[in-house]
Amino acid sequence: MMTAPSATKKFWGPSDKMKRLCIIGNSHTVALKRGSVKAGTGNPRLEITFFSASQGQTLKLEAVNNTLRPLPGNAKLLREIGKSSNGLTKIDPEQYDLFLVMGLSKDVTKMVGVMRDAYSGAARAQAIRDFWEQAPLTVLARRLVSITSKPVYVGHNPLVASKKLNDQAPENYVRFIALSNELVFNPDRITLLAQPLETIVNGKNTRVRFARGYGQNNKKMDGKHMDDAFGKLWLESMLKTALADL
Amino acid sequence: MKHPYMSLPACSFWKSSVASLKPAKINGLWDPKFQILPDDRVSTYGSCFAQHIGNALIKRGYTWFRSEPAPFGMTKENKKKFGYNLFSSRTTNIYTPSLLNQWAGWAMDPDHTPDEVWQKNGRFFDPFRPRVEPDGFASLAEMRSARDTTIRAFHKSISKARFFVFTLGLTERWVNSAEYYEYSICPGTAAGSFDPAIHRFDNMDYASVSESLKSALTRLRRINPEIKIILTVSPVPLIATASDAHVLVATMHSKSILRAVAGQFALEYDDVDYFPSYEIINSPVFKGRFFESDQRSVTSKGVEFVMSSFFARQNDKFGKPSGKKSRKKPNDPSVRDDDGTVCDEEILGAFG
Repeated sequence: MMTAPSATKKFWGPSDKMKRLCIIGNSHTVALKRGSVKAGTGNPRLEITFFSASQGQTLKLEAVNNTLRPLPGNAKLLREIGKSSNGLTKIDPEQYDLFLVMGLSKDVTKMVGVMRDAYSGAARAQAIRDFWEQAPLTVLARRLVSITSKPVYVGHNPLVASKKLNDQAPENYVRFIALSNELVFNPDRITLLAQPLETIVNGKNTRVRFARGYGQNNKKMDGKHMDDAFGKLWLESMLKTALADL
Repeated sequence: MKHPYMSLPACSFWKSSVASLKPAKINGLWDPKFQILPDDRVSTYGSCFAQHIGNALIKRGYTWFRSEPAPFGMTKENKKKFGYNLFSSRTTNIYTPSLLNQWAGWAMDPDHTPDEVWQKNGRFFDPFRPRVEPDGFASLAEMRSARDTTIRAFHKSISKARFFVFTLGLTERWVNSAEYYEYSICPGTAAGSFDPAIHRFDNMDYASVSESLKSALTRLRRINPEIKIILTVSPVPLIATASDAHVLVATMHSKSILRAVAGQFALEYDDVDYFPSYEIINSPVFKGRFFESDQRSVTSKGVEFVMSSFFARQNDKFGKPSGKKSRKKPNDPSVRDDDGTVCDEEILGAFG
């Protein structure tokens, strides 16, 4: 189990009671985990449990007996979530106060373009609905909501990293997140979180300095996965929203 | 004694090129003027049947040019529902040459489009493509903005394309007799309300079809002097006629005029070709086998036969294009696949 950065203290809600955050997701949970480690282990009032697995496996977490768990015989998934959660075999909502499902949603960068004026409101809304209905992120979050009434947040794959090319304010991105919540997530009691706006460039990309491997060897840079600095910012931003809501 | 017929090829004789062959073996129906290469941008517009051409191009590795891409994330079904990926831009069906001429005119002068708008239950419908938004636009401004977007995209689909394929569908049309513009479908069917004092039926004759097409092609050439035009005639019969004739007779009348004009243009102009999709589907030789049981809708087999003939003749004449199509970015809308058709004219069936 990981503890969150001490910086989260300022975002703490009215109650000083220990909060237990459960993070479920694919490879994009790695930046969050590393980000929380980098920030130190100074806050004893937040406890984070990770359940990380490859995308294909994560989606095989099924709602059974008010828990999310691998179906019998899926040793691979059992092994993967056990490894990331210090040996747990299932996600029992009773053990946590809030949830974050992370990643499992490629091509969000392209969705920002849907907010352009070239499209009617109805076409835009339809595209957003269609996009999220097909995203594994939505599927898994809905399974979680089916077994708990506690707050469920979702975070999309980071916007693809890019150098500063045509910088602009991320207005369309912010509108995209708001509309996604209005049309798809909020009716299901789920909240889609934006990635921290200070990490965004060109209105739709993650600043390249957050890309995993940036500055080391261009060939090894991964523009789709972000580093621990990004993870730290992301987590702080999330806690600012989520803990205040509790 | 020698005579001209002695030196003609086999395809000039019915017996050798039709009667003695199984229908599927009949070939050589088209002698293409232009070679289409995989990287050549091909724009497609016209009646319902034209919706098949774009997908056939993609299926065979050619470049169907879509200058007005659908919003990312939409399902194939919803793209069709919103009028995307049916034609190169979101014009919806352009049934008549005069409607093509009208769109070409707007492309050249986008500031002078009609002000007319149709309203229903607080939603706004574009009289020139009333079904492009399933539930209408939210506001007049949105409707106008969307039309402006399509007009720009239509212009681009001419200016940036190498080929413009247009399928002629109808001679029957509905016009605004006060303002002298043409609707894509009879007012009051898909949206709007019919006003006999303003909305006038017109069945174009050979001369007016020819004149409209000539004007349209002149405008296309002004936008892109290099563009090559391929005309086809839709083999799909009229779903309804507003003329006094029986719908079967009205269909033959309409198609005969369109066919004659298209053929004449191909004879007259070096940059215009005619592809006989109409003949391939409708010839008695094929015994109606390419029609569904309603004797109107063309089967997928029929579409495939037509499009296979198209590309087979390209390859026969010019050889299979060497080299593969240059790879484009996966998110390039012009390489995305799609299928199916949406036909405004079907609305008329509900009123029949």
